Amino acid sequence: MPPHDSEERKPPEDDERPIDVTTETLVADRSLGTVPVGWDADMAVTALYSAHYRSLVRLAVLLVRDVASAEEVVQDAFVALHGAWRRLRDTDKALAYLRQSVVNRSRSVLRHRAVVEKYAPKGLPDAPSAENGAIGELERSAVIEALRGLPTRQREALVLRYYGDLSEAEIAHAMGISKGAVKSHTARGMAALRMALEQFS
Amino acid sequence: MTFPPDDEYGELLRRALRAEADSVVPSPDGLEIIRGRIEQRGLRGLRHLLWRRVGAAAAGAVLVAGAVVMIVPGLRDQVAQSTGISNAGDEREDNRDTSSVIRPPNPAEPSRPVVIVPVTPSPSRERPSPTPTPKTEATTRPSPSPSDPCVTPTPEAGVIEPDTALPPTCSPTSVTQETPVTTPSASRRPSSPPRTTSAPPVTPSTPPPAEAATPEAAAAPSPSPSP
Repeated sequence: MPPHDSEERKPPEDDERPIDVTTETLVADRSLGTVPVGWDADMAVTALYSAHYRSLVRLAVLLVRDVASAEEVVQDAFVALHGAWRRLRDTDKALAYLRQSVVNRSRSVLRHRAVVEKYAPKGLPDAPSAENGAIGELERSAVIEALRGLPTRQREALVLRYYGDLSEAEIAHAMGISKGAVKSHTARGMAALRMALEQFS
Repeated sequence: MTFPPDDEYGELLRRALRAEADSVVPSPDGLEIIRGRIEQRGLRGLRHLLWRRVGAAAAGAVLVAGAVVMIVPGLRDQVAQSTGISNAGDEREDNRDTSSVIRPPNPAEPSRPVVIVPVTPSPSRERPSPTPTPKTEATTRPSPSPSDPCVTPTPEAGVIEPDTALPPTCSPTSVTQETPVTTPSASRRPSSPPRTTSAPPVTPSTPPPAEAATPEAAAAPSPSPSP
């Protein structure tokens, strides 16, 4: 287990590796990214898939706003991890590798989508679903819509912080930026989100 | 966490993000898809490796074939030149003689002058052998090729002997068409006296007459002899 584990995290048992984890806190759970030494790439991919696939897909959904693209992004990240398993110096950082790969590939998807949408004919706006009648759903939709209106870096920083519960250093590593930049993106994103939500209310 | 405490918008954002994420249910066959992609990538890598090896083998075969092609004609020419029989009527021999490159005579070809002699007196073949460049004017002196049996460059300073006694291999027409006064021809014997009958010998100070247009005539008054 890495020494920088947070105190609020409950260290899992080595023998009790969860097969299917459903909580989003696993995105930030560094201990489950630890792979025993001596595992080959197939075993590592299987274990990491069981522990983090769903949470990584959800993280990617929040970044790319599309389930199919999010799954493809995460699957590509696992394939890349399998190919780079021998070159991975520290197998304890497999989850960090996956997370960074997901963030980078999500950026690529968004970039490609922006190019496609630039030249594609405009479609009709999404109609609100029937379940959006509740106030909570409206609030949630408003937040998600406001989040989608943010720049990519600000949205990544906010998602990694408020959904992934990552620290500044982890967000900086996942995004490939410095801690100061993480602070800046987070503060700007929150300010823009606050303005959008105040206008909505 | 090094972040400041979340405000109400932070909590609102956290709840919204979790609710949005919980609504996402990934497909259960994700692991199979990942394994399939890994296998495809492995097969693709093997295919690329196979194609690289095939390409390398093909390139090596091409190189070997090129080397053989480059080497075998040379060996064939060497064998043909050593025998000296197979290339007597070949056009490449004529091309080789008329080229600008002056080559020394091959002493290993005794029967070769017999084959080449009828072709030598032709005007197209005479010009390149005595004068390598056409820009040579009166000051230049022809440097006849030693391979040509009709021309032997042995002029002396101030003494020009129009020698009509040519080797029997030279045709008489090529000599009679030219004035014997200005033609520095041919195998010249210093010991023999001048036998000019048609015109007196030309001294080196004498400017060339109208025949100077021809390179042979222009070379006649050259004062610098060479053996």
